[in-house]
Amino acid sequence: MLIMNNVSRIYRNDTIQTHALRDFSLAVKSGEFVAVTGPSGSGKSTFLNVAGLLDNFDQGEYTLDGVSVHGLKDDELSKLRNEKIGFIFQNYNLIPDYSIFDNVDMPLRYRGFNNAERKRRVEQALEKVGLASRASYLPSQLSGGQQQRVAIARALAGEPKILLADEPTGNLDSLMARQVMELLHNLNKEGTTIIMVTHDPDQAKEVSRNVQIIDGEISDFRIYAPLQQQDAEQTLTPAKQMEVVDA
Amino acid sequence: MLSYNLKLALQSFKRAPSLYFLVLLTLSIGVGLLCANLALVSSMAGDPIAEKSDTLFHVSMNTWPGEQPPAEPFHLLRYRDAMQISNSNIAKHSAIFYASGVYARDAQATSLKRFDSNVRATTPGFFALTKAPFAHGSAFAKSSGMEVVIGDELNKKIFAGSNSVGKTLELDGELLTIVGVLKPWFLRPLFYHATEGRAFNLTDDIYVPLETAIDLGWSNHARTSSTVSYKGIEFSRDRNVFYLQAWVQLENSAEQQAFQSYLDGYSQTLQDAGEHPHAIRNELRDVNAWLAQLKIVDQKVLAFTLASVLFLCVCVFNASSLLLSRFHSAKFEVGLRRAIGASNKHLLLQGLTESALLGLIAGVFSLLLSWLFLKLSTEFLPDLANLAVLEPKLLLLGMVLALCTAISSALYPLYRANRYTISAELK
Repeated sequence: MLIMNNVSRIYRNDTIQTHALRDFSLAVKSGEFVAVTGPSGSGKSTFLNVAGLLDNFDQGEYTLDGVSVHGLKDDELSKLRNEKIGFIFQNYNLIPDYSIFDNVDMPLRYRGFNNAERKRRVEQALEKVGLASRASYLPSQLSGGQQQRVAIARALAGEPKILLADEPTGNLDSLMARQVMELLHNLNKEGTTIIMVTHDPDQAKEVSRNVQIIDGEISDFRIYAPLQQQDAEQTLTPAKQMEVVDA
Repeated sequence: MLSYNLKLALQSFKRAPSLYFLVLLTLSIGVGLLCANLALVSSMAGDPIAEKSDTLFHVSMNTWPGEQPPAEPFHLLRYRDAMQISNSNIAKHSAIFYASGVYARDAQATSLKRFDSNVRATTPGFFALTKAPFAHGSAFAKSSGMEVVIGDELNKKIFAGSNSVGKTLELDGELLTIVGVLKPWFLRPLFYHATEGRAFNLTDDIYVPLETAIDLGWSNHARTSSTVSYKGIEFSRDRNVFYLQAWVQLENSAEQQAFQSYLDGYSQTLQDAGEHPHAIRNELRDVNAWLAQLKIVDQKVLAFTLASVLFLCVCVFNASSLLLSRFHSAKFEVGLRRAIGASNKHLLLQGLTESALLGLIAGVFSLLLSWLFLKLSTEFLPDLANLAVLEPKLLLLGMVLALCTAISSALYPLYRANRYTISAELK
């Protein structure tokens, strides 16, 4: 589903250049739920931004669902983002003066679906996150957990191949965080590939694989149940990661 | 997608009404002021009879009998020179005329109220030459006779706009029968009499046969030059009194050459007879060349128009600056839309739709402001009254200008909005 090979991202200003990702290699199979952990400033968000085509990379190769993204034009990248990726942000990123329906409808507008198809998909996505009855509400009329579920519905409406979640429970209390995590696990069980950046080690252990990033490099790579409880060697090549995951 | 973009534009206006109102006001004032000035320039510099302006020629001659002739061939003719033109049979139409004025009333009316009216004393060819539009009746057929054609305005004043053909007017005590009534008729500039600061006067109230007006002694209300003293205009026919203007319609260059030769031959005959000592210089100028020679476009208005173009540029920069701040504050939404699949092209179209809608609203406002500016101009400068007109082409131009300026104002902010990486916009 996602293969990064020796990807580097360097931020430069007049005096300093910072390696946010350094020869970063990772492979994620279809149907996996991968947690990405690491201290602040380690490069987790940069990885997620590069993976989600929200940021460029300077070196290396990146293939998403069989498409090499290097050198793609803006409209090709937009199409990939729209059709293959669903984003879940820590701050939900809902438009405050749009109804829940309109927020979920947003990505579908750029997909060119007709009204009936969009309506069907929005209603289905809201049904899936348990908010079908709140379609006409404004985000401010919902709790934090509900808003994050709306953001998940927005990510799901386009039926993406992969969900990228940036600390999706970071702004939620434990009860709401639990609900959101359950929802993500259910989606993963239904076959959705998920990559989630998190600070919470317990959440990281709940998923099939944990990738720890320090200083822009993978420092630890663990496979958890139900796939296999096993410590893996550090900074595996994507091919090796595939082998380990398959084992 | 257009309907969605329009919906987004309206939502955007709703989010920052004060800012968009300022942008609207800034652009409307700039465009409105420029349109008001362009309306004046357009009236001044327009071709009043475009369909035939290149075939109508004003005649200037150099037949001044004194030792000190005008520096250029004189635009005023004496009666016998003018008649020479009228009788040439080369021109398809010719018009010889002078301006006068009378008090007019309905001869059958019980009311003694009279209306101060401008008179054009002219040969009948005037109507065909100027394409004067008739509502009722027709032109008088001869240069003499107690007949008149009246304009729409006077017909409304005296006869409430009804068909007054056959009715009798009392003009300075003389009774003349109406044979024709014109439709509303606007010539900007009034090309047939653009001298003596009359280029932007209205068309005349009354058209009377030339010989009749001379016989009745209706004095010339424009410039007269003479080398002799005379008691009244009725005694001017055989004297060196220059007060008539002449226009001819010449269909092609062969006719122009023939007519020029005819004039030059006539002048030569006069010179040979010792009637004037000057070089043979007769000039034919078509409508636009004649108006250009008279320099009827006010240089001050031109300068002010240029200033209003610069002012509009300042308005565009201001609007652009306001929109830049607006787009900057909407950076997060731009980033979000790009993250979920909007391409730069989608966002550019969204931005352009918003600016186009803004431009259309600004267009309406700017035309209202233009009208207001022109109204105010005529309050302070009554001479501009006949010029301060927003013609349909200017209404269209105003809308197009507003649209273009609104889009121009948004171009840089749109460029900036799509310049950052999405992750930076979402921070």
